Amino acid sequence: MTERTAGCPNCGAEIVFRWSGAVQTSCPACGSVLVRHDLDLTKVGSVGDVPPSMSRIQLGTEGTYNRLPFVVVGRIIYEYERGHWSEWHIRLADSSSAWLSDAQTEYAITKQVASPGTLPPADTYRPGQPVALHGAQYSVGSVTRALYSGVEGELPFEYWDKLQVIFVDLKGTANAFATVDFSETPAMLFAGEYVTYDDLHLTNLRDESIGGGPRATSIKGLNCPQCGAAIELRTGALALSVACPSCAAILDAQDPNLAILQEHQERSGRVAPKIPLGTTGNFAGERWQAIGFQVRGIRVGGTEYNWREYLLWNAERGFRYLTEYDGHWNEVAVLKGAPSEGGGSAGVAYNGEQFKHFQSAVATTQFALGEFPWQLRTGDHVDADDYIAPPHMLSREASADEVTWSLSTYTAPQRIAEAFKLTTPLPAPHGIFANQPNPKAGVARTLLRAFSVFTLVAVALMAARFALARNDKVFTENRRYSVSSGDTAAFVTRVFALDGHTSNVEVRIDTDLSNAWAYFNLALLAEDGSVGYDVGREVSNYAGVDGGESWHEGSPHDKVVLPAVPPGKYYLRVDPERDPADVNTPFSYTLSVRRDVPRLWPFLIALLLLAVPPVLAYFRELAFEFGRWKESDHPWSTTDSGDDDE
Amino acid sequence: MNRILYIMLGVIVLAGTAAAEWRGWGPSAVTEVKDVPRTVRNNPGSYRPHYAFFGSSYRRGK
Repeated sequence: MTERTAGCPNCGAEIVFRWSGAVQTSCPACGSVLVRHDLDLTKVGSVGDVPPSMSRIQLGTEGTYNRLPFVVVGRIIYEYERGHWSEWHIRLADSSSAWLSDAQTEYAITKQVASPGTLPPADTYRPGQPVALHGAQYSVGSVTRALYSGVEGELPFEYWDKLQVIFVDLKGTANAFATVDFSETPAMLFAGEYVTYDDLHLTNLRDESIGGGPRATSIKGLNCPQCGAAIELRTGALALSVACPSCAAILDAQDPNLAILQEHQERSGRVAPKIPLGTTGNFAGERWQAIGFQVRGIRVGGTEYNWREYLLWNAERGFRYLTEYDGHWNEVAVLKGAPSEGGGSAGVAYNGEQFKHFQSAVATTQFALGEFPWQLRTGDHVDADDYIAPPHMLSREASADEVTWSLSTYTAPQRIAEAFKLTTPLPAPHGIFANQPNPKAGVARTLLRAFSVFTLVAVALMAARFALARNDKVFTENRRYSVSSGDTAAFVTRVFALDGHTSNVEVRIDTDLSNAWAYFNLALLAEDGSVGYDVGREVSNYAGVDGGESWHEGSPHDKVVLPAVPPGKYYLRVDPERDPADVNTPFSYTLSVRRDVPRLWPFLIALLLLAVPPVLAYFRELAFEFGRWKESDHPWSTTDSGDDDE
Repeated sequence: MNRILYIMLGVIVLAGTAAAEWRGWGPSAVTEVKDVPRTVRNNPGSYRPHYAFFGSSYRRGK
């Protein structure tokens, strides 16, 4: 492609246009800001000093976005309370232009929306507020009052005489991102998405050995103005505040003299970080350096709960956190998009995962060490809401002008210790943490699935048993107990055969007893005298009317199962007895013997026994969840059956 | 691990139940005696049952 050129009206240097649509450019030789009228250039101002940048992006940096190559052709620099950020003007291979926002290693690519409709005025946006713009749903992430700090390179419009500019950053679902830019009237809408450094495949970057850049490894050495202790700034221009490791004074890292922001912190609150600041850890092949440490806390029901946060820094990926409470560790990443609220009762949804509300409280910074990319003070507080879907937790922190969401992932202390090669072992977790995975989760379900299979097997075995059992009636005899006929004495039956394999024998007694009882001394005896089985059975049958209500007790029938009787020839020895008061009243009875009688109850008892482990596992899982939610805003209650009991 | 142990338990319990049913095993108040005198067939009254707790003659309290 042939690039157009023109001469600088101020110094005569050659100006090369990388993008034919550029309206404004700057002279690399004299720094004049030039507005273009076709190829005629008019000087409208001077570039002045471009602020130092940690970014490795520069004019001419190339990359790809959605597989479309682009080149960086211009830049607008803004200053805000967290330092500077750059809006890089990029020219894509399809000749369109877009903006690559680069703020503290957070990258977003946006394009101007041609007809955004009427945009609400700047003073109507509140952090966290849902906003529908140009057919998309967003929530207000932040309202930033920024100062125009400079321009360089080619821009698609004239932009050189601004002062204060208001930006409203909007976060959509997933990585959707938009900015309402109030630098012009009417306001402009830029919509796009967050991207990662890796997504962009950037080349022709600034040499990291000169001027810093995000890979800057050179540590800026300073001294604390309060105690004189040496202070190191590892993130260079990104650091906005730094806490002296010696006197704990909080200092303005942007000030060349490290102006004191807060003279001292409560010594009683001083805590030694378990990960020494400056230590570099390796997580999944990425190197993260611990640069800041703070103790934060919430007060719930008069009790203070404190946790420790470690700020980690990676030159390309920006900042991350590790949190530790009672030995429970979490890896925390600040979300670029915003979860969709309304994911179930008082919950949120993110990445297709439903999160339940756990706790809301005011989180206060109590102590800090090291450097931070914001102006930190002890006593800083935010409204914090936690939502859980173990092992994840979404946290929403809202201040007056910003809402941020972060995603925590529960992590074993061993992983932290190994990543940072800590020599002192980390304490074991104590108690149950909000997003700690339930170690018993799924066990009951797994066992229940196995139990279902066992039930089917048991039913099949029962069916087979009932189908294959002999259940033969091998003997039956009618008898009458009568004193007058002398049939009251012990007697033996005829011999009968018990065939087949060793199995049970059922002896059944059916009587015509009414309001009487009888007792039968029974013995199943082998004809050859080798073995016998003695058992006594009572048959009692009573009925009547008492107070107008009829009642019944007992039965005229009874049976007994003799276990594991080997095959052979047997007979019964029977010795009937009855109530001496009724001894002269005769009664009839029938004795019958069945061989190999199938029974249901052994299988039912087996299933009952097998149901114990899944039931126990379920209660253990439930007990863990009970302990988890006990610490939340929604403790489980045995008497409350409301929505909280989920 | 839990699942494997449980499956082992299930197999043992069901196999044991099936075997017990097949062989007719089970809890019972029956007393097994060996070497029963052959004279019982000729003189049934001479046999003394071996279940100890009620003796040979039941006395009910109704």
